[in-house]
Formats: sequence, C-alpha cells, structure tokens
Amino acid sequence: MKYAHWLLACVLLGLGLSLSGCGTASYQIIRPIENPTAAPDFSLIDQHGAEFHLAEQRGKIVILFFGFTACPDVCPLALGLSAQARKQLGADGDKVQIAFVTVDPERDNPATIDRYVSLFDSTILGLNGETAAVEAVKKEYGVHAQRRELPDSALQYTIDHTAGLYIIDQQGRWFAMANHDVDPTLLATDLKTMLQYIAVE
Amino acid sequence: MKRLILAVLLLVLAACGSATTPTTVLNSSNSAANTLGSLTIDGSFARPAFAAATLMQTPTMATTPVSPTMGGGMGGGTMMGSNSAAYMTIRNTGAADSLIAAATDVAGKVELHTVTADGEVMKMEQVEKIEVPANGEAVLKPGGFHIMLLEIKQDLKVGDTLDLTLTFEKAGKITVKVPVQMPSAQ
Repeated sequence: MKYAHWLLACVLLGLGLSLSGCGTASYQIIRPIENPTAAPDFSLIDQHGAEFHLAEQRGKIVILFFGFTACPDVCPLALGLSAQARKQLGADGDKVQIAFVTVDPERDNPATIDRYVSLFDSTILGLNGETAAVEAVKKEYGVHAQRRELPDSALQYTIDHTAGLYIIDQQGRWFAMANHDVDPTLLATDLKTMLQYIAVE
Repeated sequence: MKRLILAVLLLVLAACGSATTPTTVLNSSNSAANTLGSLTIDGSFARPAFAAATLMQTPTMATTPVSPTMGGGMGGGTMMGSNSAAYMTIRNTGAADSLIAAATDVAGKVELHTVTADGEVMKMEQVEKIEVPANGEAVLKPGGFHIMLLEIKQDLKVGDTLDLTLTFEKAGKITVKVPVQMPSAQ
C-alpha cells in the first residue's frame, strides 16, 4: 500500500516536472532578443496578389527572410531549412508562417516569386510591393541590401544582403534572430519551445 | 524505495535537460564515386530550380497585377528562371589541380562562384577557378564555393539527376551524375 503511494507520488512529480518544462525556456539555435518589443508592422503584397499585413499574423510565428529569386546558394538554404523545420512540426506547422521579402524588385515579379518559393514550400509567402514600401521594411529591420554588378557573369548583378532569419513571435514581437544555415531539426525544436512557452494573446 | 524515487527523478531531469542532440543532416552522396586520375568527386548534389521557359507559360502572369514600380523583371532583357547551384567534394591524391569550368545540358550558362560573409551580409563572387590542393580536397558547399547553373532549361525537381561535366586545368574532363536535393545544413 505504502509502495503504491510512493509510486503515485513519483509519477505525479515526474509529470509535473515534464509539463512545466523545468521552468524556463531555453533555445538551441535561435538567438532570442532581450526584452523583445513589437516587430515593425508593414503591409506588402504576396505572390497571389493578396495583402500581407504583419499585424494580422498574430497568433502565428513568422519567419521573415529577405532575399532574391536569382540567388542560388544562400537564399535556397535559408528557405529550404525553414521549410524543413516547419514540416517537422507536423500539425503545428500551421502556426508558423514563412515569409520571403524580395530585395530585387527589378527582377522579381509575382510569377517568379511564386515559382521560386514553391520549390521549397508552397505555403511560403513571397512578398513584394512598391519600391518605397519595400525600402521602408528593409530600413525598419536593418536589412542591408546592396546591388553589385557582376560584369563577367550571366547573372549581370547580384545583391549582397543580410541573410539572417527574423523570428517574430505569436504576440507580434521581434523575438529572435537565427542564421540562414541553421540545422532544421534544432530550429524546429526552438519553434516548438516558442509555441509551448509564448502565450497567444 | 528511495532508489526508485531517485531513479524516477533522474529520468525526469534527464528528459528535461538538453535532450536534443544536434543532428547533422548529411547530404546523401552518390553511391558510385567518380574518379579522374588522382581526383575523386563525391557527395555531389544540386538545388531544385524551375525553368525560365515554363515561367513564360505561366497563365497567372497575365492576370497578376503588376505595378510599374513592382516586379519590373517582366520587361525586356533575358527572362530569368531561377538558378541552381551544384556542390560536391573533390579529393586529390596527386599534384595540385584546379576546377576551371563546368557545363550541363540543363543550363545555358555555368559559372564558378563563392560566397563570403561580411558580418550578417552574404556576398556572392564569381571566381575563375576553384583550386584543389595537392593531396587535399576542395569542398563545394552551401555558403561557399559552388557551381552556379544559370538559364535553367528544364525544371529541376528533387529526385532528378543531371549530368555535369567538370573541366580541370590538368586532369581534363569528367562527367558526373548530380542528384537534385533539397538544401540541407552541412
């Protein structure tokens, strides 16, 4: 009898500890920002012609990435890994929205952007807009994007650009940054932790 | 009894700690290694890409509103498809050599590029050659040296394989089979 009580106590204690996740959230690969504040709001147009308003994404984690579709190396890595992490979340993947903002409005158009993001995950939203609107978003997020001519290349020019992943939480806060070449499994683990610890308002 | 409690506690605590072990996703490499003289090429893969030609046939293009200051890529000039990049490890058991060119039927142009990081800003540069040191190796991987495939002529989907002919300064040419794969961490 006494044995059964102890066993029950142990099981309950164990459950309690597991559920509480041992108190504080710790992250594997993303770099949380201390005292996160509201991410700068913006409105751009997605590849389907619909308006993407960041504030309307509340309740979801938004992974924001700036890049261009002619980019063969860094951008596919960032988008591919983000998409793999999202996939690993299973049904919870619906709580994560990956958004790609073009820094090459001259070459990128809705059709190109659509084909490009669909290579990785058709739920990725590819965002573009009036030049001034895109410039404003880049400025708000401290994105450096500089066109550089490649005279000997068929590419004609490339765009040197900030390659980090901007992670905006369910409350619309600029929560963390991550490198463009993170391990998708670790990223998925961190996204799960965010979904577990950050309350949806 | 105490032992049991201790055991349960330990188990719970262990589960709480960082139970996640970083798992490196390795790129599956071609089973058959490709050898040319003292050079061996393996672990090759290329990124998915879509063809420029199919883009022109996309019916949504006509119906998608495009403002003059948005997505000017439509007007004049070359229709851009998406580009692809091929990666591999070139091992060398002999004297120093260099990869100086590459070609494939699926791309109109093939160039050698590298990427350098300037803080968080990534910069892509075209290079004339990629050196393969004597008794060493050249690693072409995401975020570094890559063979850039431009003017893609057909969709490259995961599971496809493309023939890529590599030209080395000394060893000459070799054609390798390169599978198309999703990007993965190194």
